[in-house]
Amino acid sequence: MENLDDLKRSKSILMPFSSSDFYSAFFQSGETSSSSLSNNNEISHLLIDVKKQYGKNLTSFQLYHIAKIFESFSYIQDEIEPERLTSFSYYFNEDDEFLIYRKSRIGLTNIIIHDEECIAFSFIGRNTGDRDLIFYEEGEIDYEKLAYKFFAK
Amino acid sequence: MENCKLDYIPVRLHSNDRPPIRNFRVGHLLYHRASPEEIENPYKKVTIAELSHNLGGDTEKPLSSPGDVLFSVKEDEEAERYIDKEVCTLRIISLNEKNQYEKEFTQEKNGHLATARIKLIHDPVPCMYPHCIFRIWLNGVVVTFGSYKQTLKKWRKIRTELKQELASMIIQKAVSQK
Repeated sequence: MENLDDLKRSKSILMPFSSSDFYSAFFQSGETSSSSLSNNNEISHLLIDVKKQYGKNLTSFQLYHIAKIFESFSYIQDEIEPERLTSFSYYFNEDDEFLIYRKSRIGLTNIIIHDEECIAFSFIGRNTGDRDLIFYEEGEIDYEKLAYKFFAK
Repeated sequence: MENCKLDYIPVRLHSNDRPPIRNFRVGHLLYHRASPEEIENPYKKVTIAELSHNLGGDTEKPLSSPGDVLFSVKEDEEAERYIDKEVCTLRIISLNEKNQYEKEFTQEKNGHLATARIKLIHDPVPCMYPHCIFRIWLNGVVVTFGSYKQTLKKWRKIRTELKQELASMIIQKAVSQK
């Protein structure tokens, strides 16, 4: 089982600069996208965008967990490289699964929020055999750890 | 098997009573027709019922070329080719002891146990001898596009495991029994 502190300390995820001024300057440069988060207002905007786009299709289970996950992204934003934080997208598929996903040089990461019952974390690397799939039951989710895992690769 | 009635399909692709291929080989290629969205993130679009592919076979003596998978072999479709799709090439990198790709996934829910099986099958049709499918069974019953919502869709973990398996094939461009 991965340790949260190990995830935080991972060199692959930490900002190259420890100063928060670097991070603030990044967002002031206007390079933010609709999927970046710098404060609670942007979390609200992101949730509003999600509801506008997929509105009635989302269950209360999904809306709750989407909000918690976006909150966790905001919570960890000062700990990770800004480029990673702006690198995700979301999608609602024909199986009523809400996807939060990002692609990197290393592979594809998805958080799959089902209409009920469970959430899954999926990573598929470019190299054969390099993949990970974890299921989370309601009540057992460490959102901060999930956020770090999501941005780790 | 009846003869191919689509005159735009090259004769080399017609089944013409050729027998099905029972065993696959490591190194065989499979060609998958996919939308750009599915290639970008297979979890967006991959369907898990009778997934069609074309068997490319050996590179020295190929059964088909990548572009052949873009042909429409359905007589009720107007278009001859799927122009909005792309070709994803997968290489078979490992098989089981019977030279098959076959996996099982199980899930227990509310005291009930469900078992899904996925298997690669050579499934020639009149106009496309190289046609293959990844067939899926749930508790021994084949899952079709028509039955999917009443069957496999309810088993969320199994569904996600199957999607992970199929998504990995597309991302890693490989079919692996391991």
